[in-house]
Amino acid sequence: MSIKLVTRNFDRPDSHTLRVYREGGGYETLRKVLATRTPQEVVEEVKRSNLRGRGGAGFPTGMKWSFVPRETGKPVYLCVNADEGEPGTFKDRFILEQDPHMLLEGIGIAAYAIGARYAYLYLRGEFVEAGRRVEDAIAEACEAGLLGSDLPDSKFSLDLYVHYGAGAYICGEETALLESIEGKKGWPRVRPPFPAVKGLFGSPTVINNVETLAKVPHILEKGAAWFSALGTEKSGGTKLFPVSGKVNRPGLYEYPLGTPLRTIIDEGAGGVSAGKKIKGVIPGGASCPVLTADEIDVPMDYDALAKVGSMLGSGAIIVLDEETSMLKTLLNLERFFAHESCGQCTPCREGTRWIVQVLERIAAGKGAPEDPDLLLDIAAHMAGRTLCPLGDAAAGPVRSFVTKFREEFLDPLNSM
Amino acid sequence: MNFQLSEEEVQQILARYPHPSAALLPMLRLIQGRIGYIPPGAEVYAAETLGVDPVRVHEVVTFYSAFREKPAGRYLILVCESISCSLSGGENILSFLKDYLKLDVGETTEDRRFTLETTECLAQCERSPAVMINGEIHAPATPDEVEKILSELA
Repeated sequence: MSIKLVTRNFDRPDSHTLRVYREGGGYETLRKVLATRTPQEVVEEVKRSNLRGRGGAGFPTGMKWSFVPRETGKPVYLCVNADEGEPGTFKDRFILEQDPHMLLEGIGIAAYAIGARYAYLYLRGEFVEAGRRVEDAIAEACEAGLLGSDLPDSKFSLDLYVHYGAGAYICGEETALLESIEGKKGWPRVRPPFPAVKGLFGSPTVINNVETLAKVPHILEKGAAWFSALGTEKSGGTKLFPVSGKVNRPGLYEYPLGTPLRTIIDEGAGGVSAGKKIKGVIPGGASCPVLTADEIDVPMDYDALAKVGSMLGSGAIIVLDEETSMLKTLLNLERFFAHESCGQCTPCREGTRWIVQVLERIAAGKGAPEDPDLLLDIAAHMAGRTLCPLGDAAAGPVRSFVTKFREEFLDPLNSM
Repeated sequence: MNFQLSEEEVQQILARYPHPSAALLPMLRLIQGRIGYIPPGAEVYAAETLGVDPVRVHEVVTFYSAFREKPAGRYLILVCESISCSLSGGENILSFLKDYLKLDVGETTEDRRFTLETTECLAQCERSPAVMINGEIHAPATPDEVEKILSELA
């Protein structure tokens, strides 16, 4: 059964305005938190909720917040990752366009919890409409005395700035995002030090995804136990699932974590289009290993997907039907990674391009019998050997597609 | 081409960051928003205004795909090539546009009205295939609709 938390206002006219958000009780939770809870209590509540990062890595949010050292004398920064660019993913765009105030309330609570006086919202440069909506919402909230400097509540001030990206997928990686805000090219940093200790401008920094922060007001409103009980034992709450590809009703669906993939495809997205059969499903965006039709009863949560060799990622479900060419699909995905590799680490920079060359060769009908093994070999030399997860993100699809659909990478009849 | 910003505009973006060098991306975005690209002189101007090495400005301009070193046509057409758009027939839109505008990807018409480029995922997958024309999304796009939109543009 779908449950509407983050999506609850989406159907209301003018859902993006402060007026509509307040009619539904909006910003009441932030007000109550500031009046009655200490920052430490907020961190503990979020820890108990089992909220995990909704951007892809799934790191426990409360724990991330608790890593921020207090009293270093340096400012603490909150960075909001709105650089949504994983192919198949469009959930954060919906929040930014349809209910930006829910995000802003979450940002306010998070900033209070970690002691941040300044926050940056890193927005994809291509998000023109989302940018308008968010900037308008920030102006409305500042005018209403909810955000900004000199607020009625002396315990809390927050200046929130929108920083636009410029077309680099890698800047969704959290340390590349920091480099980009600092005015540099988006090259991921060597860790440690981790951003919680030394992040933006050398200060303690928390980076959270848009969807993660939009969940926070609900946790503080209804309590950690309620939120946690919606999900599985180790992953609390609901998740937004953007569904696209060969389905009858592509769209954004909100379900509790642990809902079977098949339910989301059939009940949410109306099943496979044109009465076709499923050949495979990418369960969490372009970087997540593909599942076969036999594997789609898997519960959609971080641990269950890891167990079947894939990932929850951004939750973006891409359905491939029986007529979809797996060769063409993998080539599409790998061209993306080759284009977006930042060039810093050799295994990723060279590996992604080499993979594209081999796939293009097979697609041209000139493949060699050893090409599937060559692809697996290249992928094996990329995974785990790069500074950031982009190398892994490019290797995972190669391994899964070539292992599970090997014949499509051999048979010249399947060439394009 | 006057790419220089007013003192007020510069102060406005500088106020958002603790270090002037962090204002580089918003400054380049403003310049490109005004004149359509980042000419070499604008790189030097940004470097001097923000106190960073000119080579670092050039590094940023060339790293980020949205920054252009040459002006595009009056209308920049971006066709999404990513997986969801591809599954919904994005290639048909691209081949239609190539024929209709008689352009290859990356080229501009002789009258400098249209530039045709491809782009990675625009996050419009639920209404794919997607086309972006001067920042505005058209999705789901069909060749007929795209032809109609282009014929109505000045």
